[in-house]
Amino acid sequence: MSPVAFHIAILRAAALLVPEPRRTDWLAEWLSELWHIRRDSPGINVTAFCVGAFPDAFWLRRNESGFSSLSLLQLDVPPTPTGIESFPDQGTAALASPVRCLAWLAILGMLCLAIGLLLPVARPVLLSMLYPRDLVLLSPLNEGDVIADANGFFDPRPSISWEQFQWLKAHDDGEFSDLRYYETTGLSAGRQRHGAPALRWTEDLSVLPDSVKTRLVRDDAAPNALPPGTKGFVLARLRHGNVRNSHYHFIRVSDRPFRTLGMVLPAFLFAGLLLRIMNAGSPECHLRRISARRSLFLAAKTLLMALIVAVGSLDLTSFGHSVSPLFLHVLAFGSLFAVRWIVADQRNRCPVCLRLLAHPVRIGGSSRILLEWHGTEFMCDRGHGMLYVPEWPAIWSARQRWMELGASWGGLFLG
Amino acid sequence: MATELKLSHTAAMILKAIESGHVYGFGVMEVTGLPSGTVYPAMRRLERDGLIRSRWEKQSIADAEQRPPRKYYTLTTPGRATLEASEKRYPLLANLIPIAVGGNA
Repeated sequence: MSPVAFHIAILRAAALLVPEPRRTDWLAEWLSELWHIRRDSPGINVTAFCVGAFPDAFWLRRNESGFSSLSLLQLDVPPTPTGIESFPDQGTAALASPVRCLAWLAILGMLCLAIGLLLPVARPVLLSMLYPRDLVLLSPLNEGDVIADANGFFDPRPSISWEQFQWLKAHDDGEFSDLRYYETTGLSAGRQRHGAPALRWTEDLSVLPDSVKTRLVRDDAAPNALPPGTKGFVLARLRHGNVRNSHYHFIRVSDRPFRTLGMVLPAFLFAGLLLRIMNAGSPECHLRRISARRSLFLAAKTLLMALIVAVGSLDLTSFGHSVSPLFLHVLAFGSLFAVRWIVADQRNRCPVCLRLLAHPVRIGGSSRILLEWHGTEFMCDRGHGMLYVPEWPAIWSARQRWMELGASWGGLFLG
Repeated sequence: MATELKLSHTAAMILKAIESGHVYGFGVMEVTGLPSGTVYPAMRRLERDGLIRSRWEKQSIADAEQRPPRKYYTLTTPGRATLEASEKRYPLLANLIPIAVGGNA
């Protein structure tokens, strides 16, 4: 991609954040400025200039696309004479319906997965989740954990790298004569057949580094030493001068499994527990309305967000030769924000139809909190009820409150 | 009212730059030394508050010079009043911004 195309792509990406009515004009201005900068100021960092389009686009989105969550927190906004102020709806129409919300999350998750599979560092980590947990690896060294350290952080490839091959050849005067993945058919958990187990060579060598082409050497004695329950192994021979000096060493993949999803789910469960504790003793809180549909929606949303956070963190930290140790930090912060969004989204949905509540109206004023209720009122488009969110907690309205509307109100709504 | 607005130093610099004849975004960036991510949102805010006004250059002028048209910014009357108030608040403001060639200051 040429620099010009790259800079235009940055501006077009930023333009997606700009509200539709102003997008064309906004993009025309930035493209015009870009053109003039490239002609008149060759020494300037054009990329940095283009990246500055994002704060501009964000500003327009916050201030011109209508109601923003931040504006709710602006306490210095004077109330209107009537004490009631209505806002345009949030630009969240795409997420309003629960089905569309889940569909968008699924698309985002698939996008993260696709990006991960395209990244050379993230791909083997993602594919490693498909490996049999009791696959056995051959270690060319006497200590099996050396490979795990040498391969880098969170790199569970059941193999050793080509660089390690070269290093071993140079320093250990050894030579790998073969490296193949086998599936054992003669081994089963708890019992072992007499004699040498049958070996079946699999054609899929994609798990092996750099498609090492070597001569296959069958050593029927080696599988006999495998622990029960082993489903397969990677076999290689490190030859020191002659075959007699060769030795095999096996380590189990399950000794160093990739636990990304396993790390995210407990974090989500903990956050959910924390939320439950925080909402304990609030009889008016509509979060206590547990229905199967609502619980299923929450579970599906949580699982999709866990996938997005786990794979997205991996994508973001997959640079260089291995996954960066920053992965854990990104994962932690990502989980925090994801849980926060899940909770906020769930609280802002109608407990009956699960659609996002709309038509926010601010009522009252902070200076008159002793006289009247002060906060924001949301309404379900289908007329199922209204949600009152206090801006300043008072004795009589400390938490948000859901009020159901009866069927008699149905005529006022879209239905 | 606009004259009662108290501008930040950055916003006052941008207003002063426009008043000095630096009438498009990159010109303001160059003369103030501020990054694009600061200048453009600040100009949006100033325009929203009615202190500056933007207009597109005529297409015929741009066509004659074989370049895309530019968007120019000018001060409004409340903008000038606010700038005068800001100059009292930030006395060195005028020294920071040089007058552009062909500027109107």
